Amino acid sequence: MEHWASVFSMILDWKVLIFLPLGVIMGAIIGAIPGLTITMSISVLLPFTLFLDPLPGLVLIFGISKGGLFGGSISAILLNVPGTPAAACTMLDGYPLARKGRAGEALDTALWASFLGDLISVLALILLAGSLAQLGLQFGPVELFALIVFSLTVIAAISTSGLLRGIVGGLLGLLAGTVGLDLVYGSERFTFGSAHLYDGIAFMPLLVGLFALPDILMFYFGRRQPRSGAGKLAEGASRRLSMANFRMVLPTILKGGGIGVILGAIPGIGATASTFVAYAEARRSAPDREEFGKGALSGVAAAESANSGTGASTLIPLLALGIPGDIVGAMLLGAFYFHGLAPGPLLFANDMDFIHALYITLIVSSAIVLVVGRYGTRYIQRIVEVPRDVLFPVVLVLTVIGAFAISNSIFDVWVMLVAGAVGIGFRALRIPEAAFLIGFVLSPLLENNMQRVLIISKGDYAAFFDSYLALLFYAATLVAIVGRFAMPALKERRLRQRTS
Amino acid sequence: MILRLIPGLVTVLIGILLVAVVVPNGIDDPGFTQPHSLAPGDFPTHLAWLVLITGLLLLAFGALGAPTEAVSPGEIRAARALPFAAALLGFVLLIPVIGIEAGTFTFTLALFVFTADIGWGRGLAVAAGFAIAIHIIFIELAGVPMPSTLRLLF
Repeated sequence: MEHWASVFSMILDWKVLIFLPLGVIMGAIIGAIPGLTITMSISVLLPFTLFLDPLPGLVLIFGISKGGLFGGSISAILLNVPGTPAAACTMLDGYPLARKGRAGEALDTALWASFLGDLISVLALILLAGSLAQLGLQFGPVELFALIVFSLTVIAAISTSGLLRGIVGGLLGLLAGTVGLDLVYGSERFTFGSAHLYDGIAFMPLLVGLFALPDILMFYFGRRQPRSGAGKLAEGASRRLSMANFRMVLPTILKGGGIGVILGAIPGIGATASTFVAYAEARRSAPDREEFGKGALSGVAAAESANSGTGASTLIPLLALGIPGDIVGAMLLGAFYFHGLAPGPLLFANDMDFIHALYITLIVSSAIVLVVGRYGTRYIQRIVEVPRDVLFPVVLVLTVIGAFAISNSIFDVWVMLVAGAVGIGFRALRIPEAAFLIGFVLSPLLENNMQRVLIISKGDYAAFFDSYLALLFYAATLVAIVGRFAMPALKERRLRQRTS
Repeated sequence: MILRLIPGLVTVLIGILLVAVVVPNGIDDPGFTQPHSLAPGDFPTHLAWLVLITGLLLLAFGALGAPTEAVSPGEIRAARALPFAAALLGFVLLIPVIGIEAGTFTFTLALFVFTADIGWGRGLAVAAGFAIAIHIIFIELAGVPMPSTLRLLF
C-alpha cells in the first residue's frame, strides 16, 4: 500500500501532469515537420530536462519519442514527405489514399495503429523487463562483457553503412568514452591538461553536436533551397475510419505491433527496419493486399503499428540490463545517469516505485497520443508548413543554450560545435553516429567489466569464455557478423536465380 | 576507385595517429599497477589497434571493389558556408560579452534576413520576440546562469 501511495505521489506531481501531454504534443509536431528529426529534437531538449526531477524529465523525453512516432505519419500521408525515416513506409499507401480524398481515413488508421502498437509495446515492456532484470541479476562481469560486445556488434552489423564502418563508429565511441580520469588509478587520459575534460567528454554537448547540428549546418552550408513549404495539404482530411474498415485492419495492427515489439527489443534494429518487415508481411496476408502501393489502409496500419510497437520495446534491454538498443535508448541512458539512476537489474531491485510510476506514465502517454492525434492533427497540419529557414535559427540558438546550461560553461558549447563537425565527417564517410554514441556510453561499463574479469581470473584471458551464457552471446555475435557478410551474397544469388 | 578507398584511408590514418601519437602521449603513467589488471593505457591501446586493423580491412574491401556509396557530406558552397560559420562563431564568442539576448537577436535576425525570405520587418519582430522569450524562459523562469544582456546593462 505504501508502495503504491509513493508511486501515485510521483505520478500526480504537477510537473509530470504537464510534461507528459506537452511531450506528446511537441513530439507529434516535431515528428510531423520534415527536416526536424526525433533524435535531433530529443538531443536539443535533453539538456533542459536535467533541471527537472527524474520522472518529469524522462516523461517529457518519452512523450516526444512517442508523439514523434505518430507525428511522422501526418506529413507522410498529407504531403508525401515522411516526417521521420520510419514513416517512409506509411507514405507508400498513406499518400495515395490522401490523393483519393481518403486522407482522414488514412490518418485515423495511422492513429489507431500507433495507439494500439504502442500499447502492445508498453505491455510487453511491463511483462518482460522485470523477468529479464531478474535474469540480469545472475550476470557476472564475464556475461556483461559478452553482452556489451554482442550489443555493439549487432548495432554495427545492422547499420546500413556496413559492418566495418559500424565497427569503426563503435570503436571510436569506445575510445572517446575513455577520455578523463582513469577510474582505478586516477591517471589522466587524453585530457591534455584541460580540467574541463577530467570528467570525460560531456555527454549532452556531444549528443547535441552529433545529432542536431549536422543537419542544420549542412542546410546552411549547401545551396539555398527553395522554401520546403508543405504545399497544398491533401483533401479529405475530415473523413473518418469506418467500423468495418477498423475491423479489417485490426489483425494487421496486432501483427504489426507484435513485429515491432520483437524487432524493437533486439538492439540495433529499431523502428525503420521493423516497419518494412511488417509492411512486407501485411502485403502478403492483408485482406486489401491487392491495393498495396495504390492506397491500402492495411499498408498504413502495418507500418504505423510496427513503428509504434518499437517505442517501448526498445526500453526492454535498456531498463532491464542497462544496454541501449538504439539512439534514443543511448540518449535516455545518459539522462538516467545524469539523474542519478542506473538502468539495469539493480534499478528493479532498489527503485520499484520509480519503475512502476514509469510504466503507468507510459500507458497514460499512449492514451494521450490517441487524444492528440484525434483532436490535434488539424492544427499540427498548419505548423508543418513552417519552413526550415525559419525553424533552424531557433533550433540553433536552443542547441547553444542547451550545451551551455548543463554546466554553465562555454567550453561545452565548443565541444558541441566540434562534435557537429565530427558528425559531418561521419556522414561524409558514412560512419554511423548511432554506433559511436552507443560505444561512448558503454565504454566505461565495458572497461570496468574487462578489468573485473582480469582481476578475478588473475590475468587469465580464458576466463572471458568461462560461462555458457557468455558463449551464447559470443555465438550470437559471430552469427551477426557472418550473417552481415553472407546476406548480400545470398541476395545476389537469389536475384540471379530469378533472372535466369 | 579512389572514392572507394577514402573511408579506409581516413580510418587507417586515424588508426596510425591513435597508435603512434595520441595514445602513447595522451595517458599519464600511474607508476604502479596492480598485477593482472588493466593499466590506464591498456584499454585505449587495444581500441586504437582495432581501429587501425578495421581501417586496413575497410581499405582492402574498398580496393577489392566491394560496393560503396559516394563519399560526401553533401554540397558545400563556400559563399554560403563561410559567412554562416563566421556568424555562428561570432555568436558563441559574443555571448559572454553582449549577453544571450542581444546575441540571439543579432544572430537570428541575420539568419532570417539573409537566409530566409521573410523581410526586415517580420525578421525584426520574430528575432526580438524570440530573444525576449529566451530571456523569460531560460533566465527568469529556469534560472540558467547565462550572461544576460539586461543584467549586463542594468
